[in-house]
Order: sequence, then structure tokens, then C-alpha cells
Amino acid sequence: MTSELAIETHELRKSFGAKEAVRGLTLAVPRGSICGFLGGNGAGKTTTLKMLMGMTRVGGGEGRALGLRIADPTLSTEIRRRTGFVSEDKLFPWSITVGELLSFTRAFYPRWRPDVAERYLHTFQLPLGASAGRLSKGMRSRLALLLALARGAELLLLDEPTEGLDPSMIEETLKALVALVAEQETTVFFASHQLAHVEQIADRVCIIDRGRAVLSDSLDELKASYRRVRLVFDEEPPEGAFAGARRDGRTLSLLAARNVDEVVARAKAMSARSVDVQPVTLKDIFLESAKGA
Amino acid sequence: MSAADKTLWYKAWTETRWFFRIGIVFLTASAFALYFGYPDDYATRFPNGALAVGAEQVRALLRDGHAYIWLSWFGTSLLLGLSFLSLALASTGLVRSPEGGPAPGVTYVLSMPVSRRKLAGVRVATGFLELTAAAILPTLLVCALAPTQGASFPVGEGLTHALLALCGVSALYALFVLLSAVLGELSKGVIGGTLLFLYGMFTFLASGVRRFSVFRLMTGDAFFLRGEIPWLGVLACLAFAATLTYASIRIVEGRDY
Amino acid sequence: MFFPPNPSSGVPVYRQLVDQVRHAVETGALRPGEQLPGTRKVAEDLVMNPNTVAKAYQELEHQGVIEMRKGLGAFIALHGRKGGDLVQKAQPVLRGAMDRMVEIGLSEEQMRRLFESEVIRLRQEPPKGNHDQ
Repeated sequence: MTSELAIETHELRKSFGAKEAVRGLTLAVPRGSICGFLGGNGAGKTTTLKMLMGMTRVGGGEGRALGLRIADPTLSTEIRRRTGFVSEDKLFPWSITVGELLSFTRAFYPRWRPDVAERYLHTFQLPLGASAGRLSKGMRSRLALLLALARGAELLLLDEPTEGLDPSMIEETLKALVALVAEQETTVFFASHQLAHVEQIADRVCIIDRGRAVLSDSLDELKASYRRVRLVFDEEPPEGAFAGARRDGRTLSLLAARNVDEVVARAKAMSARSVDVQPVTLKDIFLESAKGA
Repeated sequence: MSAADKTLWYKAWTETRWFFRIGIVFLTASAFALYFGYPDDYATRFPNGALAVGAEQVRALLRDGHAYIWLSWFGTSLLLGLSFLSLALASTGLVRSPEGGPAPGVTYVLSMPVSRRKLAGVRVATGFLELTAAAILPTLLVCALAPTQGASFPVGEGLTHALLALCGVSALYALFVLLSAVLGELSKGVIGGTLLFLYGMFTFLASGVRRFSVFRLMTGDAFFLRGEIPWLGVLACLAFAATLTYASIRIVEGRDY
Repeated sequence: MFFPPNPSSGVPVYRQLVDQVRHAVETGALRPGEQLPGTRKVAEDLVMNPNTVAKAYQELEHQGVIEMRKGLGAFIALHGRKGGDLVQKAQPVLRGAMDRMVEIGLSEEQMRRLFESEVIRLRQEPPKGNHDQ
């Protein structure tokens, strides 16, 4: 039975002692999509990914990956059989070579794709004999991604996959992810600080702030419904005339969500001298959402 | 055994092989050294007693090569070698770094579709198998070399002693595995080593306590002196080892990485 | 074959692709019956989301610009350049207006912003007089 959703969580929680890392996270990621998982440092991204992979125990609420409950140890093992993971640290068992690591990993995945492994060994320029423990951060990112891609996985969970990479390798990485989704209906859920990369390949975005989801939507819809509006008045407009607006003398600027027309109409009614409407980037949306929660 | 299982055992081997090799080399060298400086007069050796055996007992014993080999090998070299080897080999494999997070590579291994129980179990079992080899093989060498100096130590007897030593050291091994699971590798090494030292000194010096010493069991003196197998001690050690091993595995199963 | 879309422009990426194809059809760069590359190839070449490419193709099919032939792929529709005529009619109008704006002294950014505002105005106050869809 295949679920429509590659990932779904409901009020997921996790605390480490007194610190609440995840405080009721609810999100849904449809199969076959590429979903960017955005949030500031300490927002709970890594903890969430680790809970999905069964590395960190679920503190409360529930979650499913590929339709299987993440809190069940047996099901969790099955999830891992069908999921590729790139961890935040991208560290490997120290005294092992790239080739040995490939052989080691390959043994556990019946759907291993040797052609994919071969392709990316070449594209990512990874030498088989190199010791995995002595690679640079960028090379380790590429190795981690290769290992995740070659597993024949249905779901990829990636924690900062482009970390430490130079621009040409970043492009190869994004291309590899896109190719995988195009070929195999794989779902990609990746945490990243690189908004530009997310904007380039994601069709969905989930923003987490202080342990909660503040946005979980299709990227196209998000960008269609947000606009940056700048209003200039003849006199200083009253405080609080427009919620969330930043005032700078006679100018008000705000991010309008799904209510642009209403804002414009109201500004006209207040005899605004000029009404300026501009599209937003993902960065605008992200920075704005981080304020709100 | 599936390819995945074989890989797990192989990985555990790669993680432990250097300690194992050093241990085997040390014990093999000790076996040779035993016969190298072979004394003409046994009574001049061991003025203060062997490690787990009192001085008076030693003097009473040193009549022949048989006793000398017993005290030098099972009473000293093998005792020390196996104990420290067990400290070096003991680990669940799913350890913490000094800063508190997972050690390098642990996260990667945990992303595999293998249960933690299996990962830890294979690693602990590998260390134990290596200890077994380290107990038996050098002992066989000692028995084989005895005639070169005109002494003898029957293989059957040697093996019995080796197995007793193994039972005793399995208790130490399990304790160190637990330390590794709870504290991490560095602390396991420091604390484990300290414990070993203190315990050894304590049971060496305090004659009343010597009766209950694991080290004494490892030397197999009951068997040597009276031909008795100390079943109670053996069972106690094995039960202790099993319990602590189980606890260690449960601990790493429940941990957040 | 396509320009890489700009993810941070205000226009949704799928629409940029749609516009590119339509423009190509209208100017004759793509002829009726010609085959478009598959969604997978486009996604990989442009390093963009395959679902977005699929969405663009769906929209183009919905608009009648292309037709999807089962098992073969996407082809430019054969039924002529109706949409193209409209655009060809409008192009000189806009071009004239833009030339005037340049004379007035507007920058490219100013023109773009002005256009956006006017589009919004249109949405709120539909012009008298009909217009084709």
C-alpha cells in the first residue's frame, strides 16, 4: 500500500531535558515532490530529520514516512531500507576508504543502483581509494549524497546537502536531485539555509521556526499570494493602519499575504500618493515568517 | 548469513583488528619470553607472589616447571594480557564522542536498515570471539613450547585453564562494554583502566578478599591445586557478563543520537 | 532549448516556461507539429523541478498550444497561430508605449513596477469594452 504522502507528521514533539527542540510540528509532503525545509539555526530541522530516520526517539505526537510509523522500531528499519539520508555532520567511520564504504552500504540495500554510484563517482570526482575520514567537507558532502542517491531509495532526507560545495558541484548536486525525481518518482525533503537552491528546485516549502511549522505550502502558491507593497502618503499615516507594516516617515512597507487587492483598495481609500506592488522572493517570505511566529 | 550480516561482522572486525593483533603479539611474545629466561632454580622467582596468588602459596609450589609455567603464564602474562585486551576491545560500537554527540560515523551506521540491537550485538560478540582466540591460541603455544625446556604442561590442562580465564575476563569485558555504552570510549578507557588497576592492587594486597577475586578465578588455582572446577565462580561471572551485556544493548537501543 | 527560468522573478517558474513556448510559437521559432523535449530532459537540462515542467506542459496543453501524444511526447499543436495573431497585434502597441516611457525618462525597473501596478488596477476595475480570453 502506498500512501499519497511521503512524509506526514502530526504535532510532533521532542525535548532534550529542559530544551524543547520540536514543539508540535505538523507537516505533509506529497510523494514525488521536492520540498525545501527551511528554518534558522536551532529551529528544529535536524531533530525532525533524525526523528523521521529513527535516530532520535519521538517525544510526542506522531509521524509517518512512506506511510510507516516512525516511532515503531521494526517499521523504522523498513523506512531506512527505503530512504537515503545525508546527516548534518557528514562524517563516516574513520578508517574506511570510499570504495569500502560503497561496498559496506551496498550490502544493505537490495535496490542499490550501481549505475548511479558509478555515474556520481565520476561526476562528483570521488577517488575510490581515499580515506573517508580525511576528505574535505565538500568531498564528504558529495560522498554522502552519492551514497544516498545510489540506494534506490523512494525518499531522500537531506540535511544541508550543499554544505561546503563550490558552485559547479552545487549545480551537479541540484541536477542529480532533479534527475532522481524525474526518473523515479523519488521524494526529496531537504533542509537548507541556501534559499536560492531551494527556490531553484523545490516545488514545496516548509518553514519551521522554534519547533513549529509556520508555513507548509506549494512554492508557486506561496509566491503567488505574497506581494511586497509600498505605500507613500501625504502625511504620516496612523500607527497600526496596516498590520505588520514597517513605517518610515510617510512610507509604509509591508508584506501582503493573499490580501494584496484589499490592501491596495484601503490605501487608495486613505488617499495614498503612491502604491507600489512588487513580487517577493523566497527570502522575503522566509524572513517575514521568522518574525511572525 | 546474508550479505548484510557478513558486512556487519566484517565491519566489527575492522574496528577491533588492531587491538586484537597487538594483544596476540604481546601474548605470543610473552609465551616465548616465558621460556627465554627460564630459571634453573624456581625458588628464586616470584618472591612476592604472582599477581593473584599469595607469596606463601607460591613458595610452596615452585618445585617444578609445571608450577612455574602455571604461575608465569596463567598467573601473570595471560591474566594481564587478557584483562587489558578486554578493556581495549569492549564497545557496543554505537558510542558517543567526548562532546556528547554521536562519535564520527555512528550517525551514518544508524541510517542503515539494521536494528541497533544487531549492530551492538555483533560488535560485542566480535570482541568476545577475539578474546577467546587470544586466550586459547597463545596458551596452546605455551603448552607446545614447554618440552624445549624440559618441562611439560598438558594441552588439556592448558585449555581448561584458558577457558577459566575466559570466563573470568568475560565479566570484565561486559563491565567495560557497559562503561563504553554509558560514558563513551575515552572515559571507558580511563575509568576502566583505573578500575582494573585498583581492583588488581586491592585483591593482590588484601588477602581476605582474594577469595572473591575475578583474577583468581582467571588463574584457575582451584583447578591447578585441587583439580576442581570452581563452578560457582564460573556461573557468577557468566551471569554477570550476560546481564551487563544485555543492559548495555538496551541502553544504546533507547538512546537519542 | 529553453532559457533557464528565473526563480526569484515575480512570475511563477511554470509560467515562465509557458511564456517561452508561446513566444517561440508566436514568432515561428517552434513550428506546428514540432516535438518538444520530454519533461525529464527539460528538468535536467535547466536544473529545475520536474513537476513544475509537467505543470507548464499541462498548462500549454490546456491552452491548446501543445498536444500530448500518448507514448510519444509533447508536440506543438497543428491548429494555427490564433493566439499569435493577438500578440502580434498588441506588440507594436506596447512597443510604442515603452518607447514613449523611455523618452519620458523611466528606467527598466520603473517600467516594470508601473506595469505591475497597472495589471493590478486592471484586475480590480475591468475595462469597459470586451476583450477575448
